Amino acid sequence: MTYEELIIESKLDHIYELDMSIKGLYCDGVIGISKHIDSKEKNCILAEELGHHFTTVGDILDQRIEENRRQEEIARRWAYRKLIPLEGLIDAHKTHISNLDEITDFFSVPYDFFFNAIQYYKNIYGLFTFCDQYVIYFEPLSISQIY
Amino acid sequence: MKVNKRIKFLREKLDMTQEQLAEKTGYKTRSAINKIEAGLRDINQSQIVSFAKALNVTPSYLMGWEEREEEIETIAAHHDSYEWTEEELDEIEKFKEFVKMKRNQK
Repeated sequence: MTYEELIIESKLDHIYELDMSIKGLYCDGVIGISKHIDSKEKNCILAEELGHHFTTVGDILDQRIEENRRQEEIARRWAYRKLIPLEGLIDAHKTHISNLDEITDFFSVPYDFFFNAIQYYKNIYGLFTFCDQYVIYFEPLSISQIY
Repeated sequence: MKVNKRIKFLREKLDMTQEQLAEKTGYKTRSAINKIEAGLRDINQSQIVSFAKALNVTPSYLMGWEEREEEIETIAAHHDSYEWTEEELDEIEKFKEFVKMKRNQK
């Protein structure tokens, strides 16, 4: 899903690109995205801010507080699930994607976001998981059809 | 803000646990409160009243019918370190003002 597609799917009226050095801000239904970052980065920042929209409560700006870090983490996981769903990995596999550039283009995200998403799945599922008629291995990332 | 989020917000503001809120509203377990706050379970009219009482607000405030939400409730930022620079804090303040302005336009 690209940044533009995510904006449309969010159905949120208040997403603004602003002249700011902070990459993304969320406040009471309003999302601000820095206009100084590329569209792949905007995509994952927007996904995280949408994660805040759906899951965060309160002022969590002070990340020295554990509870605030926890809410930040929940929003980030929401973003991983949104932009890199397991079904998406299978779709990528079906298009015969073979390297990192192609897969990050496919999902329209930066490298580190992609790695972190895979790491997140590895943390919850372990080395592999099943999805539809496929097995997804997380390290190294590979997908096989089950016959 | 939806009713479920408002319940969570108010409960946390009052420094109340889910167990304590369950007790005050007549639920047996905290998992019921957890589901309500997560929006997985709806509450009916009489429960709105008991939640409002437990959270020390009016039922209409809990429903979000009173537009007196002048202050910022939820705010989060994408940030890679724990410390904010002066410039960033300034941007956050500007963003808050921007959000309040948008709210008043509604």
